Amino acid sequence: MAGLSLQGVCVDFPIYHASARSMRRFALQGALGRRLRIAGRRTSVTALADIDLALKDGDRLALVGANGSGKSTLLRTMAGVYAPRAGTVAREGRCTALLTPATGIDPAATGLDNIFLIGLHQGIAPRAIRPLVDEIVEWTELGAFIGAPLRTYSAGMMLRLAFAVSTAIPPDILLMDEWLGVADADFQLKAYVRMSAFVERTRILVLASHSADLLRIWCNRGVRLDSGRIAAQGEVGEILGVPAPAAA
Amino acid sequence: MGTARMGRQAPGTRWSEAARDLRGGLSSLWLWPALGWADIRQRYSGAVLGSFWITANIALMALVLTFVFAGPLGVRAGGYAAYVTIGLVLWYFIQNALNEASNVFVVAAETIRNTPMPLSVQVLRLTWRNLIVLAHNAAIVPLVLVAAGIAPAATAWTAIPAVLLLVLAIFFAGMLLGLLGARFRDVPQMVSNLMQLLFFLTPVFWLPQTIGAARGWFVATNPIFAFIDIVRAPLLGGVPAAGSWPLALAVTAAAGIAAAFAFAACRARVAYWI
Repeated sequence: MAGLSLQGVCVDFPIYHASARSMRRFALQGALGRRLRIAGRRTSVTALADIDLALKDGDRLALVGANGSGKSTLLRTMAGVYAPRAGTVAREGRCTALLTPATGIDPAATGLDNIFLIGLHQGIAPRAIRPLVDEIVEWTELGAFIGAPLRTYSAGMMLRLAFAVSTAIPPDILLMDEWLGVADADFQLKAYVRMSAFVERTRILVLASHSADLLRIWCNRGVRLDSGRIAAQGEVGEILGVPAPAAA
Repeated sequence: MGTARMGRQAPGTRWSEAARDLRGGLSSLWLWPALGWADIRQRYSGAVLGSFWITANIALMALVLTFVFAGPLGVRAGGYAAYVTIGLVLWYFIQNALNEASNVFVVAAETIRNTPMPLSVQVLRLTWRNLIVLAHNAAIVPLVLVAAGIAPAATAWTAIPAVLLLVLAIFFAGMLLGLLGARFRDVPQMVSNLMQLLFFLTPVFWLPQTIGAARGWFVATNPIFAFIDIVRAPLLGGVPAAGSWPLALAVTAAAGIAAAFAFAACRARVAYWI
């Protein structure tokens, strides 16, 4: 049984240093509007406001919204990276966040060493990943390259390796920011097959993506974010059908 | 202002979240030692002699200091060489750990922003990594002791709890400096400058009695000397100064309390600062 619930979550980013003053002037002119919070001498930008969400087993949530609408911040808040200024986040179950493909990699180390390093950063112990190494190496089709330093890899090869390790052991809660865009078409299809099997074995999925097709296939619920607020939520087809606000 | 600023989380929540973070970090025995080892491999990858360079540097420095100072100080060269070698090995550990500590969360920014890994893992990893280097460098100590003809005394075992206390203090200080350095980016520069001065102000290569009675208080209140003294004196067959153990214990306790308060207060803010 896994669960993820957010109640009245607000997240602000503090602005330190000299930039805060010019940001205030900017705000007074109305450009940032309601997203700038000024409390005493502290200035902050509101990234998320009044987020209410409750996810349970079987929920596959699509996060949609324009760039800067708060999708990645919401994923990080769900993962526990950002503590909210107000509201609560409750998580139940092992949570994996696939936000960037490169977390934990060491360019000087071999592909094999990096399998373990990526695993460590995804919360997977070496003894859990050891039995899966052969399968990972085979799936990536890296062959002898697995013994070569990662800096000799192309971006696509590196992505394949990171993806294969990250999708080796399904967590209870999977938070994912779309990062499959870099790959070639051949890999996209392969990744799609692997990802489908992986997603099926997770209890809760939250996926942020600009690809309506991908979201329609993998998700059953949807949330549209606009300026850090939930603009609409409901069944995934319904959300994807909602046109983006004209003001965006 | 204070309450408004920290009103983001109730005090009880902050303490229990900090405790949960620390428990999660400490119990991940598969994680931080592996990350510490990976750091060491990464640092010396491609170098033929690898971390032997640090050990060689310490040995050569001890040799040079013995050559220059043993005569003027009027002490036996062998005993002084052992004194300086142990002092330098410990000093290197303290200096390096504290320098790295002021950056510990900043260099891990990518991990902290993208994964749910407990923050305390970063400080445990730093402590472990520096402990590995300390163990590596400590290999020259028995060689120097044998060469100097110093037989282990009955009290030599007290160096072991002394090292453990030092490691604990480094973990607490590392947490404190890490939090400070994440918020104020001048801290790393400040710490490295301070450590350079402290090297000369601490009896690492000079003898505490040579500073004179009038300035003796300076040595007696220097916590870094207290830690070096409780490890070094028993290994050289002597006993630490009367104030060294109490001072080391008091400093560790104070650092532990300060680190606990700072961690509870700032843990949730680190991801925003880095």
